[in-house]
Amino acid sequence: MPTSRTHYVSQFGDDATAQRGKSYRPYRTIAAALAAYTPGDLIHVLPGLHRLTEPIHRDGYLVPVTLTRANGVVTVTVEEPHGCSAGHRLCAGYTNGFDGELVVHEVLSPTAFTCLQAGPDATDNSQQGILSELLAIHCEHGVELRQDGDWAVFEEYDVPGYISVTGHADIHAAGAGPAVNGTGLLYRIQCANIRKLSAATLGPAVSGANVHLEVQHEIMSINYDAIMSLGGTNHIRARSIVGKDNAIELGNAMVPESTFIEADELVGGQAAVRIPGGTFAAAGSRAYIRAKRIIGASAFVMGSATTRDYELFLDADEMIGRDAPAVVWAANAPHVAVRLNCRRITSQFADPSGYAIALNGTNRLQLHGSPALLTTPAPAYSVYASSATDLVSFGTLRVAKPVHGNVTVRVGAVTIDATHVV
Amino acid sequence: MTLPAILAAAHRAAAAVHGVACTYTRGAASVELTALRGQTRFEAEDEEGVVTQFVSADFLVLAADLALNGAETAPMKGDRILCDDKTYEVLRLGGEQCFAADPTGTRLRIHTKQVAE
Repeated sequence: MPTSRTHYVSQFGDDATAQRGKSYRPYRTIAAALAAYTPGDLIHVLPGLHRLTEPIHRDGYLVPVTLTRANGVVTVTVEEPHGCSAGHRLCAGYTNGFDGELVVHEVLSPTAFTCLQAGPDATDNSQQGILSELLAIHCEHGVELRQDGDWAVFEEYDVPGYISVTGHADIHAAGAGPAVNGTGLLYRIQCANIRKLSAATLGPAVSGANVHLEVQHEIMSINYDAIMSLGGTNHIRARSIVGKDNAIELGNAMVPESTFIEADELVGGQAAVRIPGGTFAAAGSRAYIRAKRIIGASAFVMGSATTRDYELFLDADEMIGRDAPAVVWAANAPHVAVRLNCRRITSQFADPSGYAIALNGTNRLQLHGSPALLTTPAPAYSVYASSATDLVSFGTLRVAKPVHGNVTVRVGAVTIDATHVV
Repeated sequence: MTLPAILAAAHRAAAAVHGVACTYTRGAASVELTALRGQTRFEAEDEEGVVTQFVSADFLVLAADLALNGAETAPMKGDRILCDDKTYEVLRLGGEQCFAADPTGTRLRIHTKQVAE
């Protein structure tokens, strides 16, 4: 809601005469509004074509703070309006004193609030601190947030704060970085009701941590993964998620993640959903992905040997592998648990290796929903599992060809039906 | 593979499983297509604040397949699609275009409503 702390931006505005809180004195450029912005302000971008020449981001800033602690509650007083509200996180201090992480508990006044400690122990009660930086941008219909450099929406590493972009905006990054990049775990980026979100060159469209996105049309990376390396808590909805490499690459962050992604379709040039190999251990990471169609060279790939601890729930009507098995488990990955709830798993690869599911090494793959496994006539098996593997199905497994390897069917049986040929 | 080629391959892969055959017509010209079905929800608010919601019957097609009289064309309001013995008319809803293209222009989402059995 526009307030006296709103900076208006219009293509008919004038940076030289603009005034905060006055819609009839708007800025011409978003950059000028950003320069005048202080924590807690709102930047309201009026209809028109706006091009960003700088990414939307704000550095954290140092202000003198006084911290007092009693009974586990830290009271923070500052010399400037803090712009914090309950639930915001506070990273207190670079120095060797108070280095804990705090969560704002109660706002006492514009210059004071109390916190509960969430991070390591605090030993000093009088240090410089970095306060949450709040930035809100509302874009009305027709606005284009386009960045010719790396990032269109970006936050500083490990600076606590919040960016919110709402409205009918198109977000596009033409450089090497992601269109939306949340690299700091203390930060939260929220983009609601965005029309399209894309990255053109080398970067993914979305990366980082604590990213909340609502996109009406596509999240697309023209030369890379559409979504990759998420950490923290992420919530992403879009109609289509399309990546030249993968639509979604999971489990590649050095910090745990809790990710929810929902889309009509996921499309990848390689895999639609992929957990790559590696040795990062992000204990407790999990993701839930729901899509009507998941289509790639393979629909899902579990990469090479990994020691990650990861739990994936993949819920789809249709999983299609165009040029390989639809589901591939490449090597030992006993720490990764994957549950597929799907109606049809199809490989359209007209090759003897075009199985619906191909498994190698130790795995924790479960099938739910009694999927039909479809293949072309070329492969001899619908499922090919090497001897060390075990596939567990919690429902009837409907196949056209025999199954090679160890398969445990908890409910129902393996039914062979020649109609499951594409 | 380029991104447009990936999108086209994905469309054909999905259409092979649950695509629908339809005939796209403009006047006397027509072309046979395989489309994917979908829907889009639109909202319109009048001066009194009453919000009306529309749901369009969408047809997803490859732009390259939509060729009338041998020339690739964009959907136009009033065009018709015959599918499963039902007739749909291309229309604009919510002030938007009658179709949406992905950023590469490979696929089109055509908004329609059913006008006849």
